[in-house]
Amino acid sequence: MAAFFRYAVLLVAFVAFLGGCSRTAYLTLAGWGLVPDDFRYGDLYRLSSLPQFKQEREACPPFAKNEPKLPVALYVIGDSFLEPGRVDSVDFVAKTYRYVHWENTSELKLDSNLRNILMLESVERHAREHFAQRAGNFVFRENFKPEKKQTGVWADVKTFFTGTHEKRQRLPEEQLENLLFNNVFWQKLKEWKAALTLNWFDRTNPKVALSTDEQHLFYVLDTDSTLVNSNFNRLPDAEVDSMVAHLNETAEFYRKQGFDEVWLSIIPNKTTVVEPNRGPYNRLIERVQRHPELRMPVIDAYGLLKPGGAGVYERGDSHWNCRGRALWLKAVNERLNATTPP
Amino acid sequence: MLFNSLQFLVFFVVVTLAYFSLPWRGRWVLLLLASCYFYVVFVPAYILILFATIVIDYFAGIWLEKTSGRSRKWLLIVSLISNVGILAFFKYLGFFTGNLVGLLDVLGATQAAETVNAYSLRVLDKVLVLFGQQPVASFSVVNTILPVGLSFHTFQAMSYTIEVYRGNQKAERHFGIYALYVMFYPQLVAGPIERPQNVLWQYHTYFKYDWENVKAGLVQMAWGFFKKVVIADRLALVVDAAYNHVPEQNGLTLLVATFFFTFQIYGDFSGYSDIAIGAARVMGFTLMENFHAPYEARSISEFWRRWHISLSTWFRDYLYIPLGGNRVGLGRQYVNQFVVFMVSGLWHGAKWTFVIWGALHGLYLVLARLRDRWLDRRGIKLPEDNRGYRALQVLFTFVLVMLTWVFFRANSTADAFTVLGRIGSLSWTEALKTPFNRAEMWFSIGLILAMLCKENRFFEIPTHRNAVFASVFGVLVMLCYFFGVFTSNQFIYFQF
Repeated sequence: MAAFFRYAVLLVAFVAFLGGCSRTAYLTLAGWGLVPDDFRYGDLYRLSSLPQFKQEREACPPFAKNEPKLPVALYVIGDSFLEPGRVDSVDFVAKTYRYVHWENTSELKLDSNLRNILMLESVERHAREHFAQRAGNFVFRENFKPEKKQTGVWADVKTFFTGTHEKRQRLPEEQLENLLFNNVFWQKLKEWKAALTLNWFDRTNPKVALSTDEQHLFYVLDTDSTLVNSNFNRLPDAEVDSMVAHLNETAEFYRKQGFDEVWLSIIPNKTTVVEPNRGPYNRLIERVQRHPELRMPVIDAYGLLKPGGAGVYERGDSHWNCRGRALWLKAVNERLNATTPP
Repeated sequence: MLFNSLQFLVFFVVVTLAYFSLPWRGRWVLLLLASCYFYVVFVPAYILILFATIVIDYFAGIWLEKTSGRSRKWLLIVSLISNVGILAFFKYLGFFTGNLVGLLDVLGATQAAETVNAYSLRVLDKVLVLFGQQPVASFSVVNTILPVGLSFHTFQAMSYTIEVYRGNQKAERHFGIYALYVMFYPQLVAGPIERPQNVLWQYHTYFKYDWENVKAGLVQMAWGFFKKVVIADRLALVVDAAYNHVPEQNGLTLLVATFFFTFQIYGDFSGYSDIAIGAARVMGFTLMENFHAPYEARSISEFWRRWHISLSTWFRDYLYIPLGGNRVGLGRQYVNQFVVFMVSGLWHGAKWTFVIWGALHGLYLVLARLRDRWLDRRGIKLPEDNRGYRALQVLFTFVLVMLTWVFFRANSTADAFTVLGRIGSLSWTEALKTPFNRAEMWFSIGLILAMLCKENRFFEIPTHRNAVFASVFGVLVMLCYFFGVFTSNQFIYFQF
């Protein structure tokens, strides 16, 4: 009996260890339904476990499913606000839609029968990084060298030996945590711990920050004025000029490659909309969007979301909710309609 | 792999259960492979350095045993030089280059200084690239890319060859067992620095599953985790906030931060040792104790018999005694003691702050011996049996040790002197700047008292009765979970 118990625990522990350390094993377990979605209550709740911010993320309806499609090809270099699953082709009136994340590259072949529009979308907290150089995430076919993406156990082994420290330590830690402790029982314990730490010691997970009235949850990246990502970090005029110059350079580059238009949209941080007076706001969005040298149309997400206040963001997430998303999609689709000849 | 990680907890369960499911022949292979994995999680290529020292010392041990006369001595020297050489290259190249460059600059040989710096950096970069690391632009960032625990396993390997040379240990013929002696994962990166006589025989032994050992080991591990994640990592929040921005702090804040650091480093390092010793004990291995209530010491020399025992005895046996020990004249003894502590400081890190830390301890010891001699000559007897006097001795020793920690923790010597200056001129009316609220401040002080109380009163938690074990273990695990600060703080001693 003892031996049976020992081998059973060994097997379970070994599978868990493998699931934590190997991406392939982790995804396999996820395929079997053994790995829950750790973002289901939002990225900020995932970090903080504060029960008052636990709210299942809304599943937003497709925005333009039944709309007639325009002869437009919409390309987006964007971040998590527009990642697949949050925003997809069914949300636009464009005939085709392609998305690439700021950290990746994607092959591009323009269809000259369509009106080609590129949108540069960035959340405010990463705008200074994204606009610090010319963007080149869409690469034309003749220049595109596809990365050989290996998958499987040997790819995991290779990543382990040649990858970064993050891949060997942080990623397995996150995977193990999700695999073993993302269930009702442990979630309850996590919530108790988070509530206890907040109520007794006035502390939260160091990656999140509470609003002054403790009603809203933010990324500490937004609120810590010593970080370059923060709304409250000093932003010199010279840096704004430089960001605008890089944006113009990107627009010029892609126009020369055949794009008809290049648009810009900066999504405000939750802090910017919900608690702008937390510190001296650097007004990054307005200063970029209203810069006299900026030579590209803007989808003014700040202007759209600001009146909605906290009501346009998810409670336990740093992203917008369906209302905020719809406001932005409406503006983009209206612009597509307005600029595309019938 | 960090002990305070989920990865380690699952790894430990897998390795321990597999260990008890295998015959002896499979056990050493399992432990060796597990130890390799434990190490490569940090930086895989650095395991080659470890292999190199293992191969050198393995053969050196065998040849030392076979050889006699002068060549024995030469063999030992070659083995020691290769060990110290690797340590010196990775850990001290930047430090010595920096100081040489500074000296040349002062002498006006700017061109020579630049050449030395550029040449050293080029050599280091070539080696780093060889190990798959990015080249560095200056020596100031080298500390972050050092092989983890280099000083620990180098010293453990050196103790083997020295003991074989002295005839106290037979050379190990089994290569796998010798490799395990250097690499045994619980003590691989931060000790205890073991002696071959204590542990080599254990790797040849088939330990039967022993529930008493499992219980005692698990409780010691849980207590180690408690000291690390509940106490040390909590205190680190205050310490780091103060010591990473010294110019912005007032005297009171720096005093509190220094007081907290005194217990942070104890909780951190003795916590690591407890986890290491406990993890080994679960499998049946006995590692040496590394701490014994050091802040209860009544003198600096007693402090060093209680703090990082495996290192202080290493320096005593392999440096102080070979330098002459207590057999030489008094003056020479004082010089030797001072030198040993300076070297001990340098062992901790290639920075002047560590050298000063070691030198201060050396100075304390020499001054204490001079005082004792002076008292003896005048026939003055101190009231050693008086409880009040003993309490004063403990307090005085504690304050002296605490002041040295300023150098150990400060990011630079300038910072350390600023800290001491501000503490020296503090006003009790100053506002304490801390990330803690009042409740957490008192909670932290309570934790420190609880730790001191436990360490002084119950050195080993009794686990013989299953109910006691279950309760103590359960409570410790729960406390670790609910009150632990999980910010992935690396153990302080990993950098050494």
